[in-house]
Amino acid sequence: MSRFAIILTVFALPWLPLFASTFEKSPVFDLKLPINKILLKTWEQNSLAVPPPASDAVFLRRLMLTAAGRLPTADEVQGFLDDETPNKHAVWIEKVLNSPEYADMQAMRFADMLRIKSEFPINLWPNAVQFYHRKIHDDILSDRSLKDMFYEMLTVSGSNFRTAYANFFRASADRSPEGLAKMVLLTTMNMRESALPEEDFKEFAKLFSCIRYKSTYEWKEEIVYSDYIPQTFAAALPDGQKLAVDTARQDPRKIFADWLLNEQNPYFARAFVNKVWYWVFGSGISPRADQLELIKESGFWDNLLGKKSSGSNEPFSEELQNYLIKEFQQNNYSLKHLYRVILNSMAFQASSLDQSEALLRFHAAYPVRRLESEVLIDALGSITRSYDRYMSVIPEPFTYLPYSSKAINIADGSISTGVLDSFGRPPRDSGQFSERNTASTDSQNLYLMNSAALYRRINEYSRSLQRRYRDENSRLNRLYLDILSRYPTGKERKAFRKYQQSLEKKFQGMVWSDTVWVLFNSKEFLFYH
Amino acid sequence: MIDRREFIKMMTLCGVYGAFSRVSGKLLASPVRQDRQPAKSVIEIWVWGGPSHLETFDPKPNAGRAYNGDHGDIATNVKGIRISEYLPKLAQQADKYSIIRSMCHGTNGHETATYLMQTGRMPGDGITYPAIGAVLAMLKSGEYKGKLPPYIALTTNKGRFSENGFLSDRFKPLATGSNPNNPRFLVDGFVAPGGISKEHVLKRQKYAEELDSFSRSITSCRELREFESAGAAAQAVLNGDDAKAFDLNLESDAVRNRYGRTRFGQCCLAARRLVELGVPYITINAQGWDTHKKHFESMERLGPEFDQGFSALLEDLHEKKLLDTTLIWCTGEFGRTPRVDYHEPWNGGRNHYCRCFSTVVAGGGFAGGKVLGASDARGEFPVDRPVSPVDLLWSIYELAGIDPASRMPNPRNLDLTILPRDGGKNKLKELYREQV
Repeated sequence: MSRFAIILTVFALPWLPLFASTFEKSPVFDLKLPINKILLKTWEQNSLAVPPPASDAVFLRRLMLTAAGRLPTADEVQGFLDDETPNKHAVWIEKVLNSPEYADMQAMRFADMLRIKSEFPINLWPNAVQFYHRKIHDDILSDRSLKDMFYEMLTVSGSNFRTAYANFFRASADRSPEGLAKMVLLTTMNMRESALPEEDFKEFAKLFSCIRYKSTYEWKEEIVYSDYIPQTFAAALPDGQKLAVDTARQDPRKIFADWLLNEQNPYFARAFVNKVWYWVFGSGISPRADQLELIKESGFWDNLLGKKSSGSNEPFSEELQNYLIKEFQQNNYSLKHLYRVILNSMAFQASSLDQSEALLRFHAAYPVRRLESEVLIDALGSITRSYDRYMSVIPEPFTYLPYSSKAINIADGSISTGVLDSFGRPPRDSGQFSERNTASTDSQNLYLMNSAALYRRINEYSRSLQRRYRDENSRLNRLYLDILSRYPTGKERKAFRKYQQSLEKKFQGMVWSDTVWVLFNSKEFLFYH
Repeated sequence: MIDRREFIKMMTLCGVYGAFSRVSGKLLASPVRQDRQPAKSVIEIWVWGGPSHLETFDPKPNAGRAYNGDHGDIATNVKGIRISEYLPKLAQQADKYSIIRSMCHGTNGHETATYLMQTGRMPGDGITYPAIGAVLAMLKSGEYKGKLPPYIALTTNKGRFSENGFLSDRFKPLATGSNPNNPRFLVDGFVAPGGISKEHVLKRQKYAEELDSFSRSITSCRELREFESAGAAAQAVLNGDDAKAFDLNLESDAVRNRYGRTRFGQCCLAARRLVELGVPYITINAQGWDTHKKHFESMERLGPEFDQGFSALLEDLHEKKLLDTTLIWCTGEFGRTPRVDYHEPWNGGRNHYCRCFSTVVAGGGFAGGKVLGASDARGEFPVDRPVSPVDLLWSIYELAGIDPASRMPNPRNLDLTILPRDGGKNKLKELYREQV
């Protein structure tokens, strides 16, 4: 291990690689931040050096994509690079977290989690989908406490068209008490049925045995409520606590919500800490972020015998997880605060150039991974200024989104395009993280390399560049800023000129569309890095 | 209300890029029967909207103008079989196909009837079943080695309830879009945009490598390797010859004309080219058959293009010795009302009719020159051997080498079979070429 660490340290020396200025820079991490202190400790314990930070351009691109689901504009890149404020990273993080696009991106993530779609197997239907999504978007925009949001979702009764969060219990493929219990476990605690002992799960499911649905005379209206017929039964909370439920005295849903959304209870906060970490890094603090286990008081003997390491889904740093849980709870369960802490951390701002397993495991390198389908398609749209049209003719009423609608703003999981699907847009059937397929497939590459429709957009974009920028240098700068959110390097300028000269006179204009094509097909564009 | 054509156009926009790739056949091998040579490819000619059986394969020349609109029948090259006078070319190929004249089911809505005819099931049980094309694409993906997706729709999809259902997106049909009757049949992603030479593409590829400072800076990892291998697979499609199946200009004018210079005719030709590559399932979605108004005027256009394309396909496959391994089934989701509505606003129209209609089967183990079942004198009800969608699908699966009673893999791990267990076993046996 120690020899490995030396190699890593050498690797991490910032001045060694020639390309450092493009993707990395010298260390400026604020080691006084509590989260960085914890990371530093974790890395030291595992003989890992502090990695170099990502370059400013890479950081800004990463920040915008992660928090706002879009590329930075050319002006923003220039503005950030020119900004000489010492704490400009923190300032720009704040700026992005306060933009409406932050709410767009988080609403998409919430809609995946809450399975918002009109059709099979969820069947929320279009009106309820729009209403539910809008409410979530508004709540995220105003940074409403997630505790309040989820208390409302877990306990409210009412019409799907008039009480947005009444849709929470409608958005489940399986509406049996067990099906709802599974859904609630996954959504609010990031746990699966199998995490509980079988008997406990059955008892827990009884808390959802009084939820009822009834339709009205309005088309597809449905009212969610708790059955008011008094009855008593035995049930249990997920941690095994036994209960005697008397429905005449209390709605069983409230018993669960009161238990879950209590500061003494870490489950809800642990779930959201892992969710946000997953949304930022593609894996949780526990690697399988939505398959967490019951929290057990580890006994003296377990620690002594080293039994704790037997679980394969342990958090990579228990201390970090506990710190974030506290931060989240003490800041009124603010989603924005959780993002703020994580985005300011070294883990988020580290270089991605060394993708060794050892570094990735402890987040001492930023993990490289595919852009979300919607984010990628929107990036192509914003660069070429031409978006797809989103609509649905099934089920009625027909839904048409306005022209230039962004894919991350599609409220309805049932509305999609073949291209969005092929890049892994989740079907929103179960709400599990694995539904979003980030695998690379040949059909994606066929689209990027060979689609006539995309090629037409590439041509239009490169023609407009040629109209807008007379001088070749600024034109190439703009092209790089638009697509890769950075300036081209000297080597790249040279390669560009060489290629231009190699083309026959009559084809020399194609150097622009070819360069756009090349960058659209590049890893640097298609991946978080 | 939305125009039908508009609807079709929209459906094209959804799903041109059905994800595809191959899956190991091992896991799914159980339902595939090895005991005899099954149909390798299936061509489905979907006469979308519902064709009138009276003007196609079950004419009623003696039923009077109220039923037949004064249109008669003609003899075929098989003694005793007569079909509509709209189909003279198909009449000359009657020895290659068989007609089922007693198809029936109970639903008159396009979507529901399509779902029923494609899956053998009625909607409403909370499970969206995959269409037969998606199931066959999945079960045959072990033996199919081609680079094109295993399920191809010419040129549009029929809509969500006749697609991959609960199966993976990779078995969603690739809807080609475009029009094969255009100067270039531009299948997005597979057919290169015009104006770029092979030489230029190679040059651009080298340029791409030179510009890729990112790859040279970063250490490799699983995600990047996966991307590279997907890129190589896509490159293999682009460099390979499989996508040339869509280049109909490689066919002689004589062949193209024989199929008819129409969208439908050229779809039939494209289907034959895909069969030659071994693509397991191809569906041709013929359009414009929902003739509520002025039915006979529409038939003047629809009849000849259908007659020419379908007959050329049968003849061509036969000449190329592909008909024995290529199963063709041709049907609408239902038929049309036998009694013509001459009143305003229909002006001689026919409406949806599920009680009795005709389906044609050919090749791939089906015998030619036979008729199964019969309708009454006006074509209103089956009088002999009613055949249900399940009966029909059962025989198609069986001839494709699949046991329809076997388990269907599904994500929720439910106990599902490919067709309902009480399905249509042995209902169409006498149409099989070899009796089993």
